Amino acid sequence: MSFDSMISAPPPPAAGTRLALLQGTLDLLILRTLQNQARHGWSIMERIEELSHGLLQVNQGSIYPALHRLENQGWVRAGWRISELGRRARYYTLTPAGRRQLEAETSNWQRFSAAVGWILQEG
Amino acid sequence: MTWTELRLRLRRLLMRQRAERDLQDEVDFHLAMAARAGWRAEASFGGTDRILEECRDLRRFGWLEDGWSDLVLALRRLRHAPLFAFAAVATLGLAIGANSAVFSIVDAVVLRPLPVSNPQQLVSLGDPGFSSLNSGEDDHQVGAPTFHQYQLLRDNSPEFSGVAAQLAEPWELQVAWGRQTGAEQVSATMVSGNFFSLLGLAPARGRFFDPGPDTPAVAPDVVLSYACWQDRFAGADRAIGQQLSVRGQVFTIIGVAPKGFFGTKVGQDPALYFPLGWQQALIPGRDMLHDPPGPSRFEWLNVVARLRPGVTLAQARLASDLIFHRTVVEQAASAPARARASLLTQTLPVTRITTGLSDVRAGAQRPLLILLGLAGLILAIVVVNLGGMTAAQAAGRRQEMGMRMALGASRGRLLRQLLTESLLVAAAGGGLGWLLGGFGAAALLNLLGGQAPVVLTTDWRVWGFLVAVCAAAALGFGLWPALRLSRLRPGRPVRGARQRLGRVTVVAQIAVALVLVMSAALFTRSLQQLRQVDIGFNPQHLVTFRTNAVAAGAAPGQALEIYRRLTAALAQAPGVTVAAHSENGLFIGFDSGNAVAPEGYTGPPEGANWDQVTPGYFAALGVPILLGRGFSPADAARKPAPVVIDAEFARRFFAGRSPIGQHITIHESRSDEVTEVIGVAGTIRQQSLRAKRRPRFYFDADDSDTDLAYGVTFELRVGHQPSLGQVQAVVAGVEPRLQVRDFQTVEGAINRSIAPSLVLAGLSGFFAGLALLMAAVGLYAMLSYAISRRRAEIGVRMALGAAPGRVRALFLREAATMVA
Repeated sequence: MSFDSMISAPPPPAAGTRLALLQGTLDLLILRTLQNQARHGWSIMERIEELSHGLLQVNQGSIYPALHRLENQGWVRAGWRISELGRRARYYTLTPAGRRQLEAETSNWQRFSAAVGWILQEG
Repeated sequence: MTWTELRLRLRRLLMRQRAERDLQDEVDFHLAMAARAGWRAEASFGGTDRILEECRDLRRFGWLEDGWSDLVLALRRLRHAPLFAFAAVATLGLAIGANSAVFSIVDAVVLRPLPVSNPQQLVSLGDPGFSSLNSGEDDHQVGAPTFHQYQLLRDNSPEFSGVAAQLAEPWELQVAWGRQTGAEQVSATMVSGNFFSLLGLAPARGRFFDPGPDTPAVAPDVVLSYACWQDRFAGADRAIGQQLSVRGQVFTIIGVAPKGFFGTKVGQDPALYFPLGWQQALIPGRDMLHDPPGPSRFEWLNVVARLRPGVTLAQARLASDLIFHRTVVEQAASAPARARASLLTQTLPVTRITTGLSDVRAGAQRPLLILLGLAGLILAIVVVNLGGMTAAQAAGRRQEMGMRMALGASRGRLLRQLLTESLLVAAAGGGLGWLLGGFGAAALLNLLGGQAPVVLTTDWRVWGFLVAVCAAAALGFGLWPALRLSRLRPGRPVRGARQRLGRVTVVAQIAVALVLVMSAALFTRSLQQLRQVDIGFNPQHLVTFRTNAVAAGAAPGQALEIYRRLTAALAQAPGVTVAAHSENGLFIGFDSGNAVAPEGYTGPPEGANWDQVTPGYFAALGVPILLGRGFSPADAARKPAPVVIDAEFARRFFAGRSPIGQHITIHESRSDEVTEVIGVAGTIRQQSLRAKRRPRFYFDADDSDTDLAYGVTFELRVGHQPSLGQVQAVVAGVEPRLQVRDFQTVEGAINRSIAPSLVLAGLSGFFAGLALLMAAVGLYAMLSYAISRRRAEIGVRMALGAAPGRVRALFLREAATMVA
């Protein structure tokens, strides 16, 4: 796993500390947000921030490359729709393969964080 | 890469603008949402351009798109430097063309397997270079099996899946097509019934012969070659079933051989394939389908066989040897004692012939490979030359490269771009070279010996060679400058080493040019030595032609009379000083030989060559009679038969005593003939300028015992050269049925016999001249560039008082150092 720390750009007014987000995790989070409905990039970003209670804010420069990478892998599918602004936007949907990937990565993450937790508890 | 990714990448490649627009729209939407949320979007987005770039990179066929833009850029650069482009493409084209031409001939003669199925299974039973009709007693390795031996091998060899035979030398036949009355001379061959099926060929039209024994009872069918079918019938189906006639015998066309097939022998391309069984009708005068009795053999076929899968060459040799030896033992049993020992030493060579039989290959291989080497050297010079030019240009591009690097191009990217430029030039040169090479190969074939029609095809080997040469050339002149240029660090100047590089390239060019000059000198000298060989007669104003009365329908007894009348008529013809005829002619590939036992000679029986000549022969050729006398009309029918020996014969067998009046016993197949020496003539070279001298003697052609089945060669000493028409008129006046063949000057024949040496000397001289020219141009360019760069230095020197002469001398000395 390669760790590519992505510090946020000049922060908008918001409270709380920011946590660095790891690249592999970004993919997992994006897949999660798409689990129940199709979203466009901005909506995904908002949703992540919302679900993490403001602790995680995605670097806007990394979303689109990540989304396109996921599309390359066949885990999401993209299509144009009319957005709330009235202009078209690109909406991403989870594919069946993407759902399976989400399950796999979720269980990986859970085992990983459990392991780290044990190590920190001991000694 | 997943399928989805591939699909998306292709989509981007093919609909680039739309993909771009989509990406832009997506990002714009994000910015619009951010603006609505009140963010200072640009800053937080971290630079739209970088994100766009990153997304683009996920979908590109990097190497494809980069390569394309490299190509476009390279084209543009070349357009802006037309002089360089022209010089580079032209010189490369010439050099690559020369290489490609020679290589395609090398491929056709030496490398290419026969265009049949599984040629690696084919072997030759007999010498693969055997190409004549040979009668006599051979010892040791025979040239080819006799017809009887061929039949035995065919019927008794389970190691072979088949044994077939082809006439060893194509025969020129007078063919009357369809209902035409006029006859046309066509090159034809005869093959056994199983020939085409053994080679695994499918007819382009119609069918092939029915396999069966090769007797005169087979159907009178004939198969056309593909080229003949195209020429004569324009590839029409109606050719099948048409008829043609040879000497009154009608044959039916039953099929066409596949395209590109020329038989089993490289250097021959017959137009018609007849069945062996019809030999007597096509080549009259001798029944070749039945072996002569006694120890003599008649060889007239090339025999090829196909090994069964799993059979090794050694096994095949053993098996054919067994059969061959049995026939030899049978022959030895009925042979006279002295012949028995040498008979039993006969063996039949068995060799693989994946690339086919050939009698031209042995002689042509060395000159061709030498030519290829020379052409390679020329290419080396061109490449070095271009390398110098490219390096000089590179100096002016430092800024451009520095800027590219600053903008983020990697070294590999720069290298790729520079190499693309070189490849483009090399490809253009290669295209031109391919065109030129096509013409060059045909012209070279003509020069090397127009009588051996070699079929040139562009197969994968020729293409591969062309591509390899282009790539090698591109790397050769492009790699070094590209490597140096891409190694730049922005801001650091490149100095010094380039001058040394320039010097090295010029020195290298001069060195190679000098090598070429030396080799040209060597070839020219060997050619001169050949020309200075004493042929023993005067070849100037000497004209020969062949004619055959027996083939035209005369009985052998009549033939002699016809030749006598013809000699008389020719002697009277305008322009002819002396007329004579001989059996074997001069430099046309015929000769005869037998074992001889001269009186008083105590050594082992040796062979000597001989010819049958009319009394006027020596006068016609300008050969002196050194002792005794020549033939006279009184010698006809004299017993023992008179012979004239040559000086070499006298030296070898009669050293120290006078040969006049001595007897020579000639060992012939059935009996020995005793002859008496009446004179000694000068030694001549009858066949080749290079062959070792063998002793020679002459019979009187007017002796009625002579065998005239193959016709005679007339030699005419002329004041001015008559035309073919004039000679044909005289011949027709004596006997209208006689044909005049192979009308040529003896000088021409001699030149043709040394054609490879001529061509080598000529071409190597041409290459040497070219190389010197290019080295000189390279030297001039380098010098003028160096001088222009040192203008400041020159200015200072002259200001300090140096005379112009001294400055000149300074540079000349530098140049001279390089040449030395």
